Amino acid sequence: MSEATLRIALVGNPNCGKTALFNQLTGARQKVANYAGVTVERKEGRFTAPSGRAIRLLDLPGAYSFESTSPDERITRDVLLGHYPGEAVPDMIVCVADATNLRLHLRFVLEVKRLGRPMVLALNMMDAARHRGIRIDVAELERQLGMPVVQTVAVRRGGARALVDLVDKGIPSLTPQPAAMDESADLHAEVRALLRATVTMPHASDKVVDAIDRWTLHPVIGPIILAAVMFLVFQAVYSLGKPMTDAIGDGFDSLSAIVGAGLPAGPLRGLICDGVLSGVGTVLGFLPEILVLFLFILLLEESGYLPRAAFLLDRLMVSVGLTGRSFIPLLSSFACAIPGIIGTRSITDPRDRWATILVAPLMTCSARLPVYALLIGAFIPTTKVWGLFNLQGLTLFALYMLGIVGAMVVGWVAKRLGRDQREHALLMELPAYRLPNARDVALGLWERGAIFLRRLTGVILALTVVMWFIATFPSPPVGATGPAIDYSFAGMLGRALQHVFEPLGFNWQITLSLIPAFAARETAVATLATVYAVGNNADVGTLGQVLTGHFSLASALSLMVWFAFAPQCMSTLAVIRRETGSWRKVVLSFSYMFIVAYVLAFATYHLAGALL
Amino acid sequence: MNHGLWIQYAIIGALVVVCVVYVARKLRASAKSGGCAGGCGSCGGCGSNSPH
Repeated sequence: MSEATLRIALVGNPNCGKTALFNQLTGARQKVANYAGVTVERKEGRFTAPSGRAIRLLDLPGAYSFESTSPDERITRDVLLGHYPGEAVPDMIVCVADATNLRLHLRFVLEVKRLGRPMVLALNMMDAARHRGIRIDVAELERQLGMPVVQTVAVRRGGARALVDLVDKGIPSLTPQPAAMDESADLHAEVRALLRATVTMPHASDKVVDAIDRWTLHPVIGPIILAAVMFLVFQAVYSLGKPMTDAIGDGFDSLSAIVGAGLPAGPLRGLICDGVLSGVGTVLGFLPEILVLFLFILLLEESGYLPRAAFLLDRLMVSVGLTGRSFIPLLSSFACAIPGIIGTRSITDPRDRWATILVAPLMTCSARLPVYALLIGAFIPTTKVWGLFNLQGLTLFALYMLGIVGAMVVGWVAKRLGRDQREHALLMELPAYRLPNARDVALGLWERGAIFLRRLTGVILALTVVMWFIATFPSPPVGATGPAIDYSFAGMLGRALQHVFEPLGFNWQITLSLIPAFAARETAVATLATVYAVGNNADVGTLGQVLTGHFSLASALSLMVWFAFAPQCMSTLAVIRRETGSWRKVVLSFSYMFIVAYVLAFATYHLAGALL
Repeated sequence: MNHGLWIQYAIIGALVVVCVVYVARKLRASAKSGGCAGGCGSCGGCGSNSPH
């Protein structure tokens, strides 16, 4: 690194906009949301100031105090104190504070100031503060704090210009004097004095927010609103996503027919039509449903409603051995269990953290959505319930609820089996409601789509080629009478493993699809598409239509339940090992999910077989 | 077997080897770093959970 490179650390309370500022300055796309605890790791980026000065920027997890004990807050403390391995003390600290909530944020500013390091205070969300009638005497605040103070709006283009201009000048001459970290010092009194001298608050509180909160946080109406919101989201996934999914499926069928007609007969045509186009095309068809789901999750994230949901569910979560702090990691797990498990670093108590890691994979990750969508589309009729709700949407909602209820039961059992049965109260900041920013939502959707396509054209495509190969070779021996696929490696492997999964109603094709699903869940769909495409010489319609001819409704329900509880994918197991540092916990986590999935899928198959 | 068919088998063989190596490398990297190899989006899509 060049001598002239300035190393700057972004610090501040959670949800003050550090990561939005980091993204604005460096052009990165780290995840931001309207709730605390999104950043749990130290992130690094670089940018060049207008003068050509190179700047290395560190985005640190939000912290309320240096006395905190959660793993993410420890990173911030260690970096600032120079105790973080391999990381020198930053040349300058940019302490970010939410201008609409200085009563809370200034306390940490004062704590950081005592380090006596060159420091700048960035008053973020100044537009929202002005909108609410909060007036801040920036010059007086600068004088009283003894450090430069700049105003920023991290979510607006050019909203960090004042900060860039300041850091471009190098280390500020106005540097606070170091002071003893005296725990007994009354920082709150100091904050109050600062607020009296520099901030004028509006007389009336935000009436709109209060009015909305009266409904959304109501002990009876609040949970009803939450259930209704979730219910509508899953109805929308089917109502809005299905037509586009069907269109993509039809498009790939036509493409496959055109390519098939244009290529000479031979194994290469089989690979392209039965393997790549059939397998990857089927998975790609579920992209619209995934995007619709994420559209709603992003809207809820941006609006500020989600922390209210965590607040509402706190009592329920504590009663089942989790904590309200588990809510955000569990919510992240609906995208993928990996960020959820990493997100548990914001949970201070080790028992609560382990319980959350244990149940995070039970939240339905987006990789499972194509499996559910395929089976629901094939086996559940499109009838209306009470003339209003789509039965397919209801089934999807039920599968998501199955994971949530399963997580609560597992949490409860873990709490009963554990020695430590204390309950930990939740203390969290409820952010202001805000209208979702269309650009942020569009960017979030674009990223989800790009991630899905990268997965599809990477691991899923590669696994599909391998699955096609083992489903095609070796060729049947001379005089063979059965279908060719029965003599292939896939046929042999599927049949060998079928004994384990036969009690769940799985045929050898389903059993085979579970193997690559261990690497990426969506590959189960691609494998079924490939295996049935190779096995059927005649065109028998979409994969859904093929499946209805090959296994029963009881088997389909059993497979859905299996995927609701199925053991984690390999990457999730790896991240559990990294976060817990224990192979024993990896084995425990994998084993309990395998047993639960097996038992419940078995029960579903036999119950559905008897009743339907 | 004609030449064309041999070429097709050679292409498929090479492709399968490349795919197997690719998947193995991806999974190995993922297991070593405890990351999702770009699939989960926790990294903002950069493909690494480690500081970068």
